[in-house]
This record gives sequence, structure tokens and C-alpha cells, in this order.
Amino acid sequence: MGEPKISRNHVIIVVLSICLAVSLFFNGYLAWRLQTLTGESSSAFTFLWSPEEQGITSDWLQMNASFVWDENDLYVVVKINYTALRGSYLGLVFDRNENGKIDYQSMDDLPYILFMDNTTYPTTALLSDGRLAMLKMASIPSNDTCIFDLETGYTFTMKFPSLMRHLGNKLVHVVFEDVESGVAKKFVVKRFSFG
Amino acid sequence: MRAQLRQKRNFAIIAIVLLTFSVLIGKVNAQSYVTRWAVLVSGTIDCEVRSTQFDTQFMYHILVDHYGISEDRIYYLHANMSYPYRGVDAEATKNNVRCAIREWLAHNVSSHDWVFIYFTSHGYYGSDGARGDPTDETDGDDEAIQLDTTSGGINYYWDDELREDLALVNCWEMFIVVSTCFSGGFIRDLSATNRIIMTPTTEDQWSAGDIDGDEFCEWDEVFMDALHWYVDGNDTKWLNEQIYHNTSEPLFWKYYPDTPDTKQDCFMSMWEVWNFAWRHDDGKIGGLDCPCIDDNGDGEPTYRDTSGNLIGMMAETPWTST
Repeated sequence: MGEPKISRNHVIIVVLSICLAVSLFFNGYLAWRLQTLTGESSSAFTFLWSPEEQGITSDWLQMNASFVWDENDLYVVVKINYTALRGSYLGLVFDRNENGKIDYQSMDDLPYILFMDNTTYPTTALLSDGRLAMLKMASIPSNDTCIFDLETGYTFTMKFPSLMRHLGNKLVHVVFEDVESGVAKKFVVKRFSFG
Repeated sequence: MRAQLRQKRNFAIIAIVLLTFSVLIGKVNAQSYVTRWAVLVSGTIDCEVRSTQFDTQFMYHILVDHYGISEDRIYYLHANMSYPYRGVDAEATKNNVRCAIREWLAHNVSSHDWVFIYFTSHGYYGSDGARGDPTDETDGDDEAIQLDTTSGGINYYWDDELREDLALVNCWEMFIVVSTCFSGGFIRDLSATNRIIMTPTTEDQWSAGDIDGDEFCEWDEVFMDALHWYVDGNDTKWLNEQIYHNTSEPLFWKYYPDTPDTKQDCFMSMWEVWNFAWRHDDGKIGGLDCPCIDDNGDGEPTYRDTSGNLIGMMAETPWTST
């Protein structure tokens, strides 16, 4: 008569233990992921241009760029404190062919472009002055986003799936341009290693 | 008997000479009485390629001020009606563009006239089966010119539709420039023996907008520079490259190391113009532009026919003078 009672307690203990173990496992996994996302694998940079160094705005222009690895996916968040809503884009070029430099006018280091209206081009070219080439086709919807805020400016958030996690060279070329400026060519360029 | 033969031979020689002269004189007369007509279309208000708005302005200036084409023989359609561009006749909606070709051009042009049609805009493509001849595209896609205007919204002028419209225009010679992405796909649709067709790229390639920041699309810029060829008093080869905001003040001067007039005969053929544009098109960088020409009606976007022979016989005929 006593055996079933002991067995039921055992079952409850085992079930609770399993729940606890699973809970601990996921908590540990989430903690590890959080550490991964905000720890050694992420990097953030701030760049400043004086009014004389850029023609985009009469104030200092600030760019904050964050690079966060999520396993093999790279998330890039770039904030620009330009508070005028204008036709503009953010361009990124990685050293995909690992030759130690960003190649101009090359399909190897294929540039990525994200316009402020959440559109992109299938391809474009990096020009010698650091801007990206505009194409005679309408830009197409992108999975990435740009948010504009009247007080803080533009925030471009981009995901690069399975991008160069294995690469030793983390060189990147970042360009922001106000394409409505036309002849004035208002843009800023920065090239640096993000990891 | 021998005298009769000699008489017949002399008669044949005289007949041949007279016939040759009459053909030549007829040709000269035909060319001297040619009336030139043009349709210019700036097709998009997209700020990414605002240069398309200035391409047609500069082209209008070249045709009117340098080639002497009467303003009333140019039908100029523009996407941006919020700016008073010189010479614009109508907004570049699809309906207006088709009317310009089907009504204005087709009714005014005669069989010995010369016609120039110029589109600059975004390009687009879509499944061949959706319109017109569902089997005329070897790559399975029709190509289109995007018409995105101030009040008309976005529409697409398909290659099949342009072919239908141009069939109504009976002229001596037609020169067509479609400057958009994927524009090489228009060649197969529009090709005919009395037509020269130029595009800055192939049917599966993109085309560059303004790269150097001078407000002109790259291929269009060098194409127009060749048309606008200028040699100054010191015989240095500068080309006047100006932004034409209702002013004649040149904002840019660009130096080229060579001349479009490769034959040095002070006449420029479309072949020379096309070659010059090929040599100096900044849009070819990065694998964007890949300029095409067709002038023999074979529908091939190449400068060789299917037998491998160089084309350009029609395009080599001088029609522009410096």
C-alpha cells in the first residue's frame, strides 16, 4: 500500500527537478547570449565632424556606429544626428575579399545601401570619393530599417546574415549622404576596423 | 556592226553615269529637305536620380541652341512640373507620352523626316506574358520606362507599347535613346532598318545615375558632351558641360583627352558619338553601365551582326555638324 505514495513523491520530485534544470539551462543560455551580444563581440564607435568638415548641417555632425554579433549574424546600428528629413542613405562596404583594403568599383567588396525610406539597391558601386553610385532603377524594399526622429535624427539598423564571422579583417567603410543636395555633394565617410 | 556595238556601249556608260548622278542628287536633296523632330521625356521625380531632370534640359538646349531644331518641333515632357523648366510642353504621364508619339509625332512627321526620341528615367522589368506579344523576349522579361510624375503617380511604359506607338510614325530615319536600367531590352522590341537605337546598358544590367555630382546621368553626360562638342580657340579639346537652369552660364567644364570627331572631318556621326560615350562613360565602373547600339535592324544589342561583321553603316552617316 505504501509503494504508490513513495512513487508519486518521486515523480513529483523528478518533474520539479527537470523543470528546474530546464529553467536553469535557459537562464544560463540567455545570460550567455546577453553576454555575447554586449560583451567582447560587440563594439561601438563615435565620430564627429565639425561644420567646416561637412556641409550637411551647420552644427557638429555625430555618427554613432554599433556592431553586434549574434552568432554568425552581424547587426549594425548607425545613428546620425542630422535632424532634417531629406532623401539620404547609409552605405556600408566590408572587406569581403579579405585583401586588407576596401576596393573601389569592385564587385568583390559589394557595397550595401539603405535609404531613409527603408529601400535598397540589389547592387551599387563604391565611388572614388567614398560615396555610393545611384542607379536608374527605383530602389526596392529592404528588410532593414531606418527610423527618423526630429530630435535625434536618423537610426539605421541593418542585419547581415552569416557575414564574415570567420574573417580576421573587420575593415568597414561607412558613408552617409544627403542625396537631395545634388551638386553640393553633402556626405561624410569613415573607414575603420570594428573588431 | 562594230560601230553599233560601240554606240550601244557608249549609251550604256552614259546611262549608268546619269543614273548614278540622279541617285546621288536625289539623296542629297532628300537629306537637305529633312525636317527634324524630337520627343524628350524626363520620367521621374525621384531625388536619387534628380539628374534625369537635367539630362533633358541639357538635351533641349543642345537641340534648340546648337542644332537649330525649332522649338515647335520638339515635344518635351517632364516629370517635375513644380519647376519651370525651359520648353516643357506637358507632364510626363504615360498617357501624355503615348499621345505625344501616337498623335503629335505620327501626325506631323512625313516619310522624309528625321526623328529623335530620348527617354531618361528609372527602368523596370516584368514577366513577358503580362502584355503585348507574350513570347518576344528571350529572357522572359519585358522592360519598361518608369514614369513617376508630380501629379500622375507611378506608371510604366512597356517596350511592347512603345513598339506599337512607334509603328505609327512613318519617317525617313529614327534615332532612339532609352536611358534607364535594363534599357538594352528595348533594342529587340524597337529594332528596325531605319532606326538607330542606343542604350547605356544591357537588358540585365543596371545603369548609373549621377556619379560625379554634376547633375547629369553618366552615360547621358558623355553622350551629350559628344553632341555638344566644342573646341576652343587654342584647339584644346574642352567640352562645355553646363547645368541648364534657364541660364546659359556654364557651371562645369570638363577636359577630355580626345575628340568625338575621330575622322577629323568636322562632322560627327552617331557612331562616333556612341564610341566617345563608350570611352568616357564613368557609369561603366563597378560593372554598372554596358552601353549598347543597334542600327541594322537585327535586334541584337551589339555592334556586330549575327555573322560577326561590324555594324555602324547607318550610324556612320554624318548627321551632326560641329
